[in-house]
Amino acid sequence: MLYGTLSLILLVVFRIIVSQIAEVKYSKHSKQHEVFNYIFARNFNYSIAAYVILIVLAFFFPRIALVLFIIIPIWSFVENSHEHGTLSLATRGMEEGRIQVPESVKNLSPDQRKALRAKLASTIKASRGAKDESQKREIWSQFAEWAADQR
Amino acid sequence: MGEIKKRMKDRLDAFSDAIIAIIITVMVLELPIEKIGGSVDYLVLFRAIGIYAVSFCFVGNLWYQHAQVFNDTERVANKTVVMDLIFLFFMSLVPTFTKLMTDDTSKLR
Repeated sequence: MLYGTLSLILLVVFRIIVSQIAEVKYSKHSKQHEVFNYIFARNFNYSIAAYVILIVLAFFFPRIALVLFIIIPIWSFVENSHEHGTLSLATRGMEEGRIQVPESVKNLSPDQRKALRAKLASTIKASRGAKDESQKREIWSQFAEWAADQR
Repeated sequence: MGEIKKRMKDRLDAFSDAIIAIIITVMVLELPIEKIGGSVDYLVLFRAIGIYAVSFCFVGNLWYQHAQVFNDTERVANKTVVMDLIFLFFMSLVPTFTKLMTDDTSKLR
């Protein structure tokens, strides 16, 4: 239980650090900041919720909680590295004008957000493997067409 | 001013990496090697290694996220420096809490 509480404190403090850095990097009301908050930082909130449940669980079933204590950081590690890669490249795409973000990603449903993330990740991967600029443009225009179809 | 903040960020990166490396080293050094009748008590040792693995994953994951976030920025605000020090303070308690958890589970037979 104590261990879970410490983990929770660490996650909350780290969440604050991430928000502060996002504020320095992106202007507070920019689209990138919005995307950051609604796509990337979401995982922290899930982890925080998971740790709160674990602390209660650890009181009654310490062995089960111990196994979950291993699973959560590994899941978080895999999930975050994927999300972070997507965010970095998406931000660059937005800055270069290749990606047009809707007025507010707040309006997207969780399913739409999930689909957008998956499509964005596969597009970025394909774009990295492109032989030249024209192929890259073609890949991004396909992404734009897909996004337009989703409306 | 920007240059100072950039240098501060570099120093903070190095300081955080050093602290995290020390935390993991301390956790390994605290693994209990108890001997019963001249031979190592493997049950206690493997349980402790299991708990060390939990802490290692947790600290490793936080280091990775910390590195990713700090790699993305060239300078940090003073309030971030303070928050990072608070973060490192709580993180440096991980070995103590890991030892507590190891001692507790060693009692379970």
